[in-house]
Order: sequence, then structure tokens, then C-alpha cells
Amino acid sequence: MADADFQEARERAEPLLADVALDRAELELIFSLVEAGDEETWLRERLADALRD
Amino acid sequence: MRFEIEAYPQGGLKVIPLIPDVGPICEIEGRNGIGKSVALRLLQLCSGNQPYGNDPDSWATLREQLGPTVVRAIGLRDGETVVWRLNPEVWKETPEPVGAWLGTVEIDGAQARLEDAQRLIQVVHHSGDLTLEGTIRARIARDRSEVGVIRRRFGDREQGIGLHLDALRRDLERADYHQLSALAARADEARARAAEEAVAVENARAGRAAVERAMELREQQRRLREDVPELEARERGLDQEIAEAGAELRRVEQRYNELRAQRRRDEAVVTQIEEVEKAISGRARRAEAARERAAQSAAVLGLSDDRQVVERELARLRAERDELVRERDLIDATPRVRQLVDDLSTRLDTQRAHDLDEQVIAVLADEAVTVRELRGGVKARREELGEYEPEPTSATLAARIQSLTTRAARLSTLVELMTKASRAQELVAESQAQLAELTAQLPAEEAAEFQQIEQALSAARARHLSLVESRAVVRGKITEIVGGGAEEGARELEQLLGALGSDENSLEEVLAARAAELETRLREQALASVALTEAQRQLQLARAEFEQAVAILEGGDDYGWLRSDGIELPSSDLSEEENGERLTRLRSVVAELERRFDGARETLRALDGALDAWASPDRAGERMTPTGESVRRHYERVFGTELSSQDIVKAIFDAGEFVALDLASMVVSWRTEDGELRTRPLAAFSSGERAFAYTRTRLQAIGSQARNTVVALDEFGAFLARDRLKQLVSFLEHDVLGTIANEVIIVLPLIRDYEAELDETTGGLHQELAERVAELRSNGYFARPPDWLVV
Repeated sequence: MADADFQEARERAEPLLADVALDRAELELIFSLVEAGDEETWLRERLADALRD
Repeated sequence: MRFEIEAYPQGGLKVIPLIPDVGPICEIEGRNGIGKSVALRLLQLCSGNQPYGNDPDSWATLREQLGPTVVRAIGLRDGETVVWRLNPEVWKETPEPVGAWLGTVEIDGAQARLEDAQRLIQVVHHSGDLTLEGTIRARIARDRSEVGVIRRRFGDREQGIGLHLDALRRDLERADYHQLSALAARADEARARAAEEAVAVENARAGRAAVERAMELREQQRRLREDVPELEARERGLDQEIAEAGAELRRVEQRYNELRAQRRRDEAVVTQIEEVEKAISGRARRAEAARERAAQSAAVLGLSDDRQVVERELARLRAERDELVRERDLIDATPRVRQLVDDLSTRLDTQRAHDLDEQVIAVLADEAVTVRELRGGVKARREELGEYEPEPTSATLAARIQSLTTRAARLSTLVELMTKASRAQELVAESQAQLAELTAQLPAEEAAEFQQIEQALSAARARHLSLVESRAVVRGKITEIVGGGAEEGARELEQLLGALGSDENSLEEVLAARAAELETRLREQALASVALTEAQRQLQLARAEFEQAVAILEGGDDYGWLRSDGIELPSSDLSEEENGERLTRLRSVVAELERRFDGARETLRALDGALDAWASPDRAGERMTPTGESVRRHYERVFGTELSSQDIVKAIFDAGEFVALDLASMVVSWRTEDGELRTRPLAAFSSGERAFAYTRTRLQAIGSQARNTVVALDEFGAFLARDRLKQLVSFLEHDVLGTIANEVIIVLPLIRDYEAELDETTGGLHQELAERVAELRSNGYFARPPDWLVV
């Protein structure tokens, strides 16, 4: 799927997701992952951030 | 602009081939089933919108029957032409959001991306036959489709991440520092308990030994009182008898010497007899001395002067010692394990073993162990055992074993003494035989004299020997009884009885109690020892796992991706504690991330289910979930806002005030201008009211950014029975064209019987109707500028 289409889907879905069920951390997790370029880099950075916190 | 659709559908599917350029508003009127709506939906697909999101059956039909299709949009605002070449064979099986799978695109003959075409042209399809309830449900279905896009992408990504997280979690679980610490603490506790039990055994053993010692001393005192005086008297008597026997022996020897001196006719024989007799005399003295030592040693050891008895006792001692060695090894097998480990280590360090480094040498719980790994493990164990110190219990047993060994050595020495004495006796007998032969060479009368005196001499020696042996036994017995001293023994006995809180007559009872206590303590110690061994084994296993996990994370190929961004990974350079902290932190964040993944996954799943339930008119039971309730509140608020817009309120809520929408019952409530509260099911609003109000609202909600926006109003038959057509056209001309869209296509069913009207018309109108009839006959539809007002 093209990024533009995905962005459109995200823009439409995000208010619903935010309003209905997800806390901000979950929402951030979902969108950060679905927009990530490389899974290993994403996971490593995520773990690094969490370890710093 | 004009649209051309070049398609060859099969299986009954139809699609109109042309939407001509007739001006900014194009009315398409035609028979049902000729493919008007299919054409509009195809245009919608081409502009990137999925119109079948809530209708997978129709999507499947389109995908199967449409066939290769070319769609052209010609004469856009800046004169561009866009061509889409669609190949439904490779389309997604479910109506997913439009992507590159749709087909190829050319803009003015040049290859382009779908997004480029979408920026140029957007076709917005709006169906006028939806009820208000249907519109709401369609909107929820559309949102579900959008959420589905997120959910699928999330699921795909999460699968890849999940593989990494699973592997990482598994390795981190192996390196559970808390477990390692707990096992180390447990091993320490087990060690402490084993030491306590060892001390307890030591005390019990000492307690029993004290009673046994007291009993020995009691016996010693008794024998000192009863036996020693008698023995000493006997010894004195024997001294006297030995003196007399010695004198008698000397007398006989004198007579013998005299006899030899008288018989010197044959000097050679007599000389030989004299030499042999001297040898016998010397050998007899040595034999006597040996017999005396053996007899006294046997008596000191409390044994009779009987070689068989001594050998039986020696065998018994050795058996007892072996039993104690086994007991020691049962409690503390470390010495034997160390020996085994040393042997293994030596074998594994040979060149031949190194040549087999990568070969499997053992399989442990489905895990193969190579020669190299086994060597490393054995080396580690050897280093651990290098620090071994025997437990106190082992030392006690060792002392007992040593005592038995010492006594066995003394018995062994005694056996040797007996052997020597026996040999000395044999030598005496040999010499006596030799003497008898020499004596036989003398004349008969002389020989008889010699034999007689030799017999007397032999008897005197035997008697002397016997007496000396008896005295040695008596002396040995006295020595055995007196031991370290009679007075010291009495004092020690008194002290022991005081310490034991017992008198001499109760020692047997005390001994039984102490023996039972020792037995109990030995059992407890054995249990503690087993527990210690098991705790140490578990600790070693956990430590091996821990170290392996550290090594994998530090240098394993699987975790190359993890070694950057400053992540503090464990390292063999760090202490176990520091590595433990790092691993624990890492494990914690991995667990937290997995928990969040679980939460997000579950939320998306629940949201999908709730949206599906609310998008369906007949699945009320599935909406009664927490997420279902949240979805209800969300849409009541969203649709409430839309239904509160001025146009809607004016058109269907008596120009009053919208109050609330109940999504579950699809009932709205509003307050009239007069303040009256009214409620009404959405289904109760007339189609005209619904269509107009919602069309206006939905069109105004279009947010297209494309250079060319086409609004396609489908199924607008509901307007035909009403005077709202004028309102709609007026709205399209004034509020839609130029601001929302630059072209509008209105699709209508065939609304008049044009053939019947032909005969009733003349002139230009007749001509127009004739053209429409001709197009209807050939194509099933015609396209014209809107003429509801003029025709």
C-alpha cells in the first residue's frame, strides 16, 4: 500500500482509535511501528529508549 | 471532462462504456442493470477510494467478471488525459484499500504512479438511496476498513518484531539473575544446614563416643580391681617359674656339654653336633623372643595369641573401615567427584579429543553437547572443585577411618610378628632334625645318651618358651588394662560420668539413647547433604545458562542487530551482578513491550469486532462489550455533531435543536423551536428528508485536494417525487461547483416513457426525445445536461 494511502487511513482512523480505546502509549506504539522503516532498528531504538527511561 | 471505460466483462456484469462531457453537471438516465453504478465505482477505485469495503460479495463478483479493463479520463482541467489499465485477476481477494495492485497508470502517455493520478482527479461517489441508519452504518463500516488497514500493517510488522522479541525473551529467561541469586541463596542455606547437621552429627557422635569411652573406663576400672592383682600375682609366679625353668635349662645344657666333652672319639661328628646345637640354641632364643613379642602384642590388642583369631579380626576391621569410607562418600562425594572430573579433564584435553571438538558427545534433555562444550564445562567444574574443603563430618569420619586403619596396621604388624615367630620355630625344628641325623651317626649307646639329653634339652627350652609366652600374655593384658594409667582412667571416668549426668550402672541406657540420636542425626545429615548437592547442581545449571546467555547476547550472530544505540548489554568483562542488573532491565523492558503489544493487539481486535457489530444491523448482542460501549459513545458524539449542523436541523429537526442520538435504537431526539422535546426513529424520516439533508452534509464534508474533483450522485430517484430537485440543482450549481467539485454526475433510473411521448411532441422537443429513444435502444442510457426544469 502506498504511504499516502496509509497516511490517509491513519488520519481517518486515529481520532477513532484515540477516542475509543487506546491510551496514548498504545496509540504511539501502533503508529510508530506501522510507520517504521526497518523492524530491527525500530525494536532496538525502542528498547534503548525504554532502558534509558 | 469525459470518461471512457473499455471493458469486456463476463457472467452478466455490465458497465457503461462512456460518460460524455456534457458540461459541469451531467445527468445519466438509463435502464436498470446496464452498469451505471459499476462505472462510477470503477472511477472511484481509480481515484484511490475503495467503494466495496463493506460489500465483499460484490467485490468478488467484480474481480471475477470484469476482466482486463482500460479507464480513461480525458480533458481534465488542464487538458490532461489519465489512463488506468486494470487487471482484476491480480486484485486482492478482499476489498482492501486501493494500492499498487490495482493496475498501471499513465498521465498524458507517460507512466505514472497511482498517487500522481489521485492528485489529478478524485471521483467521489455518493449514493442517495441510503437511509440515515444505513449511512451511519456505512460510515462505521468505512471506519472499520481504515482501522483494518492499521491493524493489518500492525499485525504484519508485529510478526517480524515478535520473532525477535520471542528469541530475546527466551534467552533472557535463561539468564534469570533473580533465579540465579535465589538458587545461590538456596545453595548457601543448604550449605549452612548441611554444616549444622554435620555439627549435630559430630556432637551426637562425640556423645556416643563419650558413653562408649565411659564404658571402656568402667570396664578398665573393674579389671583393675578384679583382674590386674591376679594378673600381677600370676606374672610374679611366672617370673619365678621362668627363673627356675631357666636354671633347669642351663643345667641340662651343662650336662649336654659335659657329655660332648666325654665323647670325643669321632671329633667331626661331635663338632658338627656342637655347631648344630649352638644354632638351635640361638634360633630357640630368637624364636622365644619373637613368640614373646607376638604374644604380648596380641594381649595388648585384646586378642588371643592365635593367628586365625588375629586374621579374622583384621578382616573385620578392614570391612568396617570400608563401610565407613562408603558412608563418608555418601555424605560428601566431592573427593570421588573431583577424581572423576580430573580423569575426564585429562581425557578431554588430549589431541584426539581436540580433533573431535565439534562432534556430539552427549545429549542432555534434547540438547546436544559437543566435545568442546563438555571440555569447557568439565574445566569449570574442576576449577570449582579446586576450592573444595571437606566438611567437618567428613573429617570426623576420616578420623574414625584413620583409627581403624591404625589398628588394622597394628594387627597387620602382629600377623607379621606371628609369621616371624612361626618361621623361627620352623628353623629350630629344622636344626633339631639335623641334630637327630648327626646323633644317629654315633654308636648306638652313645646315640641313646645324646638323644636322651637332647630330648631333655628340648623339653626344657619348650617349657621356658611356654612360660615366657604366658608371662608376655599376662604383661600384655596388664598393659591393655592399665593403658594410659589406672588413676588417670579413674579421673577420666569420673569426669565423663559427671558430664553425662549418669552413674556407672546406667551407661547402657545412655548409650542406647545416644546411638538412637546419632542415627537420627545421620539421617538428617544425609538428607541435608542430598539437598545441598541438588541445590549446587541447580545453581551450576543456572549459572551455566546465565553465562551462555551473556555470551550469546555479547557475541552471538542472532543479536548483531541489538548491539548499537548504546544499549547496555551484558559482557563477559562485567561482574555477574552487573550483568544480572543489565539482563533484568532488558528483560523488564522486553516484557513491558510485549505487554503493550498484547494490549494493542487486543484493543485492535476488540475494536474491529465492535465496529463490525455496530456496522451490522442485526448483531446487537456483540456490541455489549467495553469497547462496543466506547464505540457507541464515539459515534453518538460524531453523528450528533453532524446532525446538529444548521442544514440538518433546519431540514429535519423543525429548525430546533438536536439533543441526542441513541445509536443502539437508532432514535434521535431534538427540541423544537417551541422547546418541545421530540424523539423519532431514524427510519421514520422520509427518504426525501433524509437524502437531501444527508447529501448536503456529506458533500460539504468532502475534503478532496485533487486538481479535478467529480461528485457522482447515484440512486437519486428519491428526489424525483419531490420538489427538492430544484433545491438540489440549485445547491449543486451554487454551493458545489467551483468550491467542492468541478463536475457533477447525477445517475437516475429511467424516469419517463420517452417512446410514448414521441407521438405527443413536435419540433425541437420531439427531436430531442427521438435522440434519447435512439440512445436508449442502442446503449440503454443517455447522458445530458440536467433538464428537469426545461424538458
